[in-house]
Amino acid sequence: MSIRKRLAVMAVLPLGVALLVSIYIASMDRRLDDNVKELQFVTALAQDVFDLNFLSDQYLIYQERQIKAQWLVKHDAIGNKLADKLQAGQGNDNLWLRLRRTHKDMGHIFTQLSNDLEVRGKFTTTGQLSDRNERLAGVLLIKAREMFSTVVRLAGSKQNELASMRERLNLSVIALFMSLALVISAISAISSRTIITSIARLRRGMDIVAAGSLDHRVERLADDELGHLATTFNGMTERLQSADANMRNSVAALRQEVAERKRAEEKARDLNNKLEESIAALEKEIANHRQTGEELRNKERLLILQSRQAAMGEMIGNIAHQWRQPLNLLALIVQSLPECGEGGELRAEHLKACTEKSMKVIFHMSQTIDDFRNFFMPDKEKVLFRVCDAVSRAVSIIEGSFAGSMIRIDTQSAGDPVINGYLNEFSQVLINILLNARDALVERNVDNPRVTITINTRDGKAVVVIADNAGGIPEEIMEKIFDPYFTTRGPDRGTGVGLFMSKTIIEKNMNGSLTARNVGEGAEFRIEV
Amino acid sequence: MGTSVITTKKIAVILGVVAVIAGGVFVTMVLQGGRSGKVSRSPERLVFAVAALLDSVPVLVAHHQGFFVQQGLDVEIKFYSAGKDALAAVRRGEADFATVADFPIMLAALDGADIRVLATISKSGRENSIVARKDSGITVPAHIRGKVVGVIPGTTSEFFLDEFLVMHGIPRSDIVVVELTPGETVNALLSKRVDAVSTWGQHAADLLKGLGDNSIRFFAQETYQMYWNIVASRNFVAGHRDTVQKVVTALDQANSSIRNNADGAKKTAMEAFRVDPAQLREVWPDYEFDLALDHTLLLTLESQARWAMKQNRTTVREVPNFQEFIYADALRRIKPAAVSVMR
Repeated sequence: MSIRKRLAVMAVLPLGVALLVSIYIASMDRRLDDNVKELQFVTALAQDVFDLNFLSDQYLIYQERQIKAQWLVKHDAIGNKLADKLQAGQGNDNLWLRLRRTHKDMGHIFTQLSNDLEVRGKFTTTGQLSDRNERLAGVLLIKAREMFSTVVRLAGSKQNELASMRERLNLSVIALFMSLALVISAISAISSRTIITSIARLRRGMDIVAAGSLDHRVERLADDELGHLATTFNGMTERLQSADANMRNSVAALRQEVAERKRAEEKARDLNNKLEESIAALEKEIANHRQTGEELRNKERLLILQSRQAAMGEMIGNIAHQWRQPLNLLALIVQSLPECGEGGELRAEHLKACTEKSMKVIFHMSQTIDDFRNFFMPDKEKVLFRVCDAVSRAVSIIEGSFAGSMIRIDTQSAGDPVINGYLNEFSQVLINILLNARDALVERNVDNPRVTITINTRDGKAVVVIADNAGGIPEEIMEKIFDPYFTTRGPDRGTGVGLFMSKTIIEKNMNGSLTARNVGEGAEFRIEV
Repeated sequence: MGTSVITTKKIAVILGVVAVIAGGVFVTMVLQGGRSGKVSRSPERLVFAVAALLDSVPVLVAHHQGFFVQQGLDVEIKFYSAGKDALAAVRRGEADFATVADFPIMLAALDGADIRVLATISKSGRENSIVARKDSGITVPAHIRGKVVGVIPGTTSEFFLDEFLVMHGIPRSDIVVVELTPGETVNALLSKRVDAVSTWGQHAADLLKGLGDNSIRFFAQETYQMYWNIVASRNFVAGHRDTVQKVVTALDQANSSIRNNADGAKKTAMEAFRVDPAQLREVWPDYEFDLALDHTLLLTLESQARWAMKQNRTTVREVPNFQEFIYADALRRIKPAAVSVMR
């Protein structure tokens, strides 16, 4: 039962009990009134019996008719009262029965006595009459006394009954109120105990939960507000426990993450250290490489210088080859002048013609020098150039030396492809390949030495194939021919950077390819850009 | 708060334990106190001289239903054929109590007996009667005149016969009185040794049964009502007031039992007196079982004493003060309204 209901019961219970007590008191009061009336009746009857006894005594003394009449009236009055009592359904107990019997006996005895006294002639002897009258008078007095005693007992009985009822009423009221007090006290005590116990359990549960034991639950309490509070508290604790578990899991996850991060940091730190070490090593290596590169660059510069010097030598040779015919022409012109002077043929027109002719030759020679100088100047920007032009330029530069070695150059062109790149570098590559072919042809003293240059286009790319009949490249060195500083000639004739530089120019600077293979009578170099 | 709750609970528990212990001790003391008078001492042995009449049923009920035992009394019942004999046993010291009618008490008092009437246990106006033979010519009371009438001297039989004669105007000299013992009355009338007998109870019933239609019975209930009493010697009463109190209490319980359980009492009476059940049912209403000490008993005794003196049945010339033969304290203590003897 809820606390509210209990309090309501405690509030209503006294009213209910007061109502019951009121009903009970009213009922008892009615019964008391009945008993009081009965007592009053018995008391009045006792007075009548007393009067009858008084009249009996008077009659026995005076034996007068008016007393007899009074006696009979009183006796009848008592008889009527007893009859009324019997009709009312009361007076069936022993005392009332005795009273009626005695009353009846008294009537008979008084009648006999009065008759005896009035009709004296009935008896034969005075002595007998005296005995009978005396006996009847005695019995009458005994009956009168018995009747009075009985009425007194009835009155006493009624008084006792009345007193008993009053006592019972008082005791009942006291008992009812005591019971009420006990019940209320018991309910109060039980309720208080229940509430205090519930509060104590709640308090203990709260203390335990507050101390951190979220798995604690308040014991099941009574089915009242505190029980509901305990249930709510348990639910709240359960949710709190769940939240705490989630938080703990989160914290654990965070801790794990932090640990992992720390480990990652450690690893990163280690990696960093290693990286720093690697960097340091790399820097050291780079430094070494730089140093090596510097050395290499120095060597390259030296090689390039050597190459350039070789090129310059080649160029000078070529210039010399180019210049040989004009110089002979110029010598002839100069030599013709004295002859013309000696022959008198030296005239102004002739002189002017010789001069113009000489100047033309000299201009040609100067042009030759410019061409060579421009050829060896590196390109700065990519330009579109025709492959055939580049091949012609290269051939024009080296044709003098090839001619000197009786090497024939055959140029075959299938199309006129155009390349976006560095013209001079591309021509330099062609010259390097051609010069290597020349050297191989010269060195191997090949009959009918020749070099074939084929120009075509394949898959949108310009293809230049340079093939010779010098017998090919030995297979054992085929893979090394593009390595830097690899040469089959002695240090006095080769630097070993020609093909290396050529591959670098074609593949790195112009995104093309340079390959070599042996075909037929000799080697074949293929340039695709 | 928590401490106060615990303290309150402890106090409540302690108070509860103390209350239980105190209650237990109280109940034990009460029980032991209540039993001390009954159990701790061995039962007091008493001898009850009982006249074999239905008037004595309260004593038999008290004995059979254990009311004497409940009072701590070990009562031995001794039956006598008449109250006069039971009273004589008390006077001889053979019994402590006796059941006896008013008339023998009156004679004993006139004889100077030191006895005390403790209570009247029953009254009856039809216990005594005149049973006569019709073949002796007796059909109305007046026919007794000139007949031989048996009487049991010293008992209510004698007084009743005189009452009967007086009330019907028959001089005693007109009849022949034959003194009989209670046991002789039946045979005397059946054998026609007498024409009528003044007798009581079972003897009258046996005569009616034996004579059948040849019998007639006369009562005098209007003028004579027999008081059946408990009597003890003065010395015994003086020395055993507690015992007397217990006996009176047991008899009061017996009378209550008779009123509440008449069948049980009748069964007791049938077992004790071998009465025919039909006969018992018929006569049972004639008896009024009520423990009392009415002043009418004194009036009756005085009246009988005057008669005895007139009949020269005693040398005493003055009616005794029968109040001195009444011990009302025991009955007054348990039932004051039942005592109407003037003091």
